[in-house]
Amino acid sequence: MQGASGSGKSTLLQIIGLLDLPTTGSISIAGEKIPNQDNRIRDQLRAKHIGFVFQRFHLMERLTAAENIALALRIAGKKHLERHTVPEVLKSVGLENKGHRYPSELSGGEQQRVAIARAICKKPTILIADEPTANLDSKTSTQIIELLQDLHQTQSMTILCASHDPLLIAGATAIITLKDGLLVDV
Amino acid sequence: MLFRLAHYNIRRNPTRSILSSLVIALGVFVAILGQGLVMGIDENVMRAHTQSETGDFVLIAEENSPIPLPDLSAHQNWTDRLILPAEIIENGIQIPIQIIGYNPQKQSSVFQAQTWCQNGKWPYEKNHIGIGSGLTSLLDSTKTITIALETKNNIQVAGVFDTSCIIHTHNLALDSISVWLPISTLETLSQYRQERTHILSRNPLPSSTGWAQYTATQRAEPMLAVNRIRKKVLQSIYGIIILIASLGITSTILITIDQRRSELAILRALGLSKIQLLTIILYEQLLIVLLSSLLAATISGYLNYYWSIRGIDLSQQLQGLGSTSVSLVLYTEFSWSWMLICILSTIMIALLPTAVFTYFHQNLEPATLLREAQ
Repeated sequence: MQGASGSGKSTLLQIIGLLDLPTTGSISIAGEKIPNQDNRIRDQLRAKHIGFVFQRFHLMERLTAAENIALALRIAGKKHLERHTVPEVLKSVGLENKGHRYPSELSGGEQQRVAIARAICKKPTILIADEPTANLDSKTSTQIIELLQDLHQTQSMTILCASHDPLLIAGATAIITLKDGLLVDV
Repeated sequence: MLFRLAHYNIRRNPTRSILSSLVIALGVFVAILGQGLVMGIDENVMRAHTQSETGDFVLIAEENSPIPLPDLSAHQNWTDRLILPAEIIENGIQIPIQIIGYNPQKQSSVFQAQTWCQNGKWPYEKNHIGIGSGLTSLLDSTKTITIALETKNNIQVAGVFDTSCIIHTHNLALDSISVWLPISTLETLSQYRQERTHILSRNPLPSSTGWAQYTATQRAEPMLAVNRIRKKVLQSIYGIIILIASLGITSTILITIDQRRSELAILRALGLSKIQLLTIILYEQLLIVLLSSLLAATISGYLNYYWSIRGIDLSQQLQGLGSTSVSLVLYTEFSWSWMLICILSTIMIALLPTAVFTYFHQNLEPATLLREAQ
């Protein structure tokens, strides 16, 4: 998803990710309409089926990398998978030896990898990433883009990204363009 | 893991957390110990009345105009008392006392006469007297006692008496101020011949006697009423302290919510519901309230229990107030149920404002939190 700043990319991502409510219209997932007022269903869908990666990582500073991932599993009601899944996703993002480190002890790229690991650990139906490379240098950005492409190819995961990054846009299978809050091109 | 975040948040504002804990602890301490003391006073008042009166009913004549003794011949279980203010004179010092004239013939049917009289026999002779056990410590010699009675204009020596026994009624206040005489002896000494101030009866008497009739509970009512006011004041103080403390904690929690927007945003984005978020926030408050109230309940409960067994000796304090002849030990009332009520009500009072303010006045929608966390 591309577009100028203020075109509505982040807002649309938050609405699709059930973080925000549309002022008009409704959201349907797999043909099922999601009621705007039913917060319980929205919270459950978000916990189990939607993974988020934010531009500023948004990791829990007081928890280690492994605990940040475990937290997402617990909220999704998959605590029983914690022991097996946490090392597995850490390995898949190349941080198998850094699970015990706190976010402040990791580089920006490593923090974004932890954020991706946290998002994919519950095997979401869709991974939503809001400018995941915006705060990273070009080398680290390339690594993150490769990681996302790898997740898409190896795990067949649907990934919806908002980005200005030409490299990320170039690797996308579909590009949506927004302008002033309107979808102008697919 | 979520609760570990809560523990960290408590440590984030240590001064506020400690101050809130201290105020809550103070409230619980006041509530438990204060209630124990007030209930203890209630119990002491009731004990004093039931043990000193012994009969189920007390008849009292008008204070300033004693009326003739009613005809009680049809009622077997009754006795009369004549109670007069008097003084013991010893080495030129006057010790204020209360002299009780009792009816030897009726004594055993109404009183626990045998168990009350220790180290001798009830005084039946004219020159014999029984003295309260609490008085013995105030006198140099208990063998012979000089008693003076108050008249309208002055105090006159009524006679010198031999002590025939020590009276132990189990009412410390009464035992500390009273001497006992057969009522006939007292009648010869006083101006109240054929009149009584005080009648005790096991059975209700006809209302036509013209004497006011009270149960021991009714007699204790004025003091119990004062105590009820004490209790209400105490409970109000407790309530105000806990409310202030809970508002203090609530403000702390609300401030920390602002400090933790980013953290709360992540939790909501990961799928934590508003209720689950509120549970974590309330858990922090519950920890503070529970720990401080349990600590206060342990200390005040122990003191309450200790004083309910050992009593608090207030004799010296009373002597300091000029009452030379009274010894008083106050026993507190220990109650598990009251402790439980205090802890639970403290938790309720403390958690409710936080729950209401957080749920209804804090915007915890994930999109809002994320925007504020940027």
